[in-house]
Amino acid sequence: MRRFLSDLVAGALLAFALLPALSFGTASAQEARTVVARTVAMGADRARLTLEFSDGSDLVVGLEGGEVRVDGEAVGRYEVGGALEESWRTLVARTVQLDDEDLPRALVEWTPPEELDGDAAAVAARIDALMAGRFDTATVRARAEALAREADQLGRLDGLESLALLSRLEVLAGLEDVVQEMDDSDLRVVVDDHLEIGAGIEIEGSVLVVDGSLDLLGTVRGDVLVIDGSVDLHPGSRITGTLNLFDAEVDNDGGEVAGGIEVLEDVRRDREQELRSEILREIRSEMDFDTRGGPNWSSPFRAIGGAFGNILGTLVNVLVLGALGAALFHFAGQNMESVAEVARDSTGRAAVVGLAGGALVLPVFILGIVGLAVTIVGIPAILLWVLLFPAAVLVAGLMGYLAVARNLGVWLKRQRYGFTDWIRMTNPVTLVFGGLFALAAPFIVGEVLGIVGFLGVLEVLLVITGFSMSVFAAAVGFGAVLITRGGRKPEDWGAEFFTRRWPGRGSGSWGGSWKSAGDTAQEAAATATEAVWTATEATDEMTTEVDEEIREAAQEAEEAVHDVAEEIDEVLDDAEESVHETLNDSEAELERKRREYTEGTDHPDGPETESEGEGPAHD
Amino acid sequence: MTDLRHWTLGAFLAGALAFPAVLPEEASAQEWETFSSSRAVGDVARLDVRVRYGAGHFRVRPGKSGELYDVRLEYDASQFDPVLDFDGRRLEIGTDAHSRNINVKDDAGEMMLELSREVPTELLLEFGAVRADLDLGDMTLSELDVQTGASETTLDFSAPNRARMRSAEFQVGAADFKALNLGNLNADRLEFSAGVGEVVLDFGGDWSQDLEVNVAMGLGSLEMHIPEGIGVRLNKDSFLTSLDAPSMVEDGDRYYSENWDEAERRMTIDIDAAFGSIRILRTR
Repeated sequence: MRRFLSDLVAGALLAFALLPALSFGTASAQEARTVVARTVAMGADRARLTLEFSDGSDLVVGLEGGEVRVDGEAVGRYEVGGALEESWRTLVARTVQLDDEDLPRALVEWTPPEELDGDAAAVAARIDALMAGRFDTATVRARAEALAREADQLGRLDGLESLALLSRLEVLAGLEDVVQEMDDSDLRVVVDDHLEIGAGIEIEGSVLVVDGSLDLLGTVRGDVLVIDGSVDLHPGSRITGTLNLFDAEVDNDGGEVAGGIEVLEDVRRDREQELRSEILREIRSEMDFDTRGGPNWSSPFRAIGGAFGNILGTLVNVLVLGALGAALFHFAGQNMESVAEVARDSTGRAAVVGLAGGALVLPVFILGIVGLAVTIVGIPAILLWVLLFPAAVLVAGLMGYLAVARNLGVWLKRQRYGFTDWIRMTNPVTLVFGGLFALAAPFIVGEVLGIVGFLGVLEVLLVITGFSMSVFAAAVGFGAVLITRGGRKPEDWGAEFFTRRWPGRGSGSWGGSWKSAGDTAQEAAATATEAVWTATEATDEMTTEVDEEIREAAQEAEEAVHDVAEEIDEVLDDAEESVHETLNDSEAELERKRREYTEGTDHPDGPETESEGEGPAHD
Repeated sequence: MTDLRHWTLGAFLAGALAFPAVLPEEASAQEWETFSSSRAVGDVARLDVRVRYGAGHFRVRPGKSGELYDVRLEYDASQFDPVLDFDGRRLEIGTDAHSRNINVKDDAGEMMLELSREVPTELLLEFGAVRADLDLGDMTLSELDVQTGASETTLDFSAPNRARMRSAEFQVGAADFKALNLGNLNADRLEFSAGVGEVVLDFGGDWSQDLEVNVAMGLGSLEMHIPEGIGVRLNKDSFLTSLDAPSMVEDGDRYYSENWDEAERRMTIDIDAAFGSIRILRTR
């Protein structure tokens, strides 16, 4: 009961405190009262609004340190940092920006947050009533309706603007993601024109400005997209969504953009990058599909163009290789003939040697580097090795391939096909070209067949055939080059080597039956091993030489040190002897003087005579 | 020379006494608050504005139509209180320091003041360690008094003053001071005194009357930019002060521009200076 009475008394006091304001508000609701001055003080623990009215009255409402104060009197409490404070701060901050016409509307239309309850809801309702009571609601309503009508008229497309917009569809298409995210329920569009959204006007929806400008003093409850234009955000203006700019400028003089400002050039750049990647993926996918022989109905012209390009590329390769072959046969014809002879007469052996040699290229290369590095003195030669070894391998491969091409040209000529009339047996260049065309033929035919989608399988088979032929030719050629040491050695060089290196194996078994496949494999392996052996041997020799040099240098250094030590000993001996002599002389002199002094003291005038000279007394 | 001592001493006193000492001492944590106030013109016929601002960035510009004043303050509540007092005729505005020793940092606050364009206004601006950007064009100023301490001030009459001003006074302490388009001042007389600093007075703009300029300079340099069409007569009373006025003809203690006799608008300059340099440049 006592609690009830105390609450009653407190409520009566509160009502008494609010009575002047409430009664005043009610009584003057019909008057056309205007605000002549407003003052806002915002701090960490306060948000106070002071209004002065045209009739001389004033109103001070503030949330300060947990208390709701009206005209300096505490009328309730609020939760610091709660919904009421947040809503009130937003309202008070807006009042600074609004003009005199829109300020009453904002204050009257303010409603307390719905989530409030209990005392907080009650005190918020009182503030709401206080605000509404101070203004002529009819005037406010009329103003709101006028603004709503004005807002409704803004940004409505006419026919010309629609046509102008059509011309910019490609830009909009490029910004598809942004456009799709915009609220298009009530989209306002301005094309090649100026749009001003005045203070107090609220647009419920998004705004699109193309080749135009936007002056925003009011509120856009949505996103704004400006393309090739400009936007001025005036004090108090608000965009609840995102302001997107594409080739556009913004001058923000105190506006609020809740969703932030996004420059779409970056977005477009990212999008272009994505498109490029997508196109590349498609091309790669399509190339893979073509290679697999799948149909390519969707792009026949591209298939023809691609095939033509590939054929052209193959022909260029043939021409370049043919030119190199002509040069090699011109400058090293004998070598080429030797290689070609081995490739022709010992094809299998050369192929195996070539494959083995190819497999050993990398190990030998690395071993060479290691060997040179181990010798220390060979380190400078590593660079030469790194440059020259791959070049030598390349030249060897080229020589062999072209020699095989020459042999193929001979074979082709002997078939007496009509299209081989231009090949002359006496002209190695035509033979090389003939062979190269033969090697390239599967690729060329395959490309032609690939244009027709359903013959893609044949294309794949031909490509595989051509690839196999080329690899085989390269292996045979490379092997022949190795066997003949670049065309300088006779055909049975390998046999001689094996006979010499492993005599126990018998020359008959290694040097005689070259036709056996097993022997051929053994010989190939032995040839490759010989290369490694030679490299190791060279490394050993170099290591031995270096060791010898080091040993000699160490010996020389030791001798030099020995000589210096002897010289030092001699000098020390001389010095010691000299010191001894000096000491002896000094002792003798001392003895002599001591003797003279002793003798002098035995005579009366002795000491006086001594004291005038450099006598012992001074020493 | 008596005037010189008077003005120089006055400028220093203004800087030293008008504002609390600005010391680089450690202060308590800053508490930033904002204060905004605006008022409609209403029935206000004349306005007497006094602005005192101690430290920060100070801006003044003409306001919107129908607006008497609009002030926005961002300040450190741990050191300052906002001041706003309007009695229907007189407006006092600015900040009031809690103590004489205030801590000035890079971010020392900001004050933006918009003043009525239409209402005749007497304007007194006093500021200390302030970076000031003052656009006083297109207002109706009947009197102007600018007093600065250790400031960096740019004053621009970007458009002609709407009222005829009896006199304008600029008292500059240890400061860099630049006044632009003083031809738009629409004043009979300009009194300028400076203690230490670099001063540029640009007299461009629309000249509607002759102007009398009295300059008292202490240590520092003064550069005056005067349009070629204005006739200029210069009286110099100086001590160890160089004068560079290549376009003027010397006649005893006076210097005349070549167009003095026939110029439509004339400007008479009396300079009382010591230990400085003065340059007179003619502009197109």
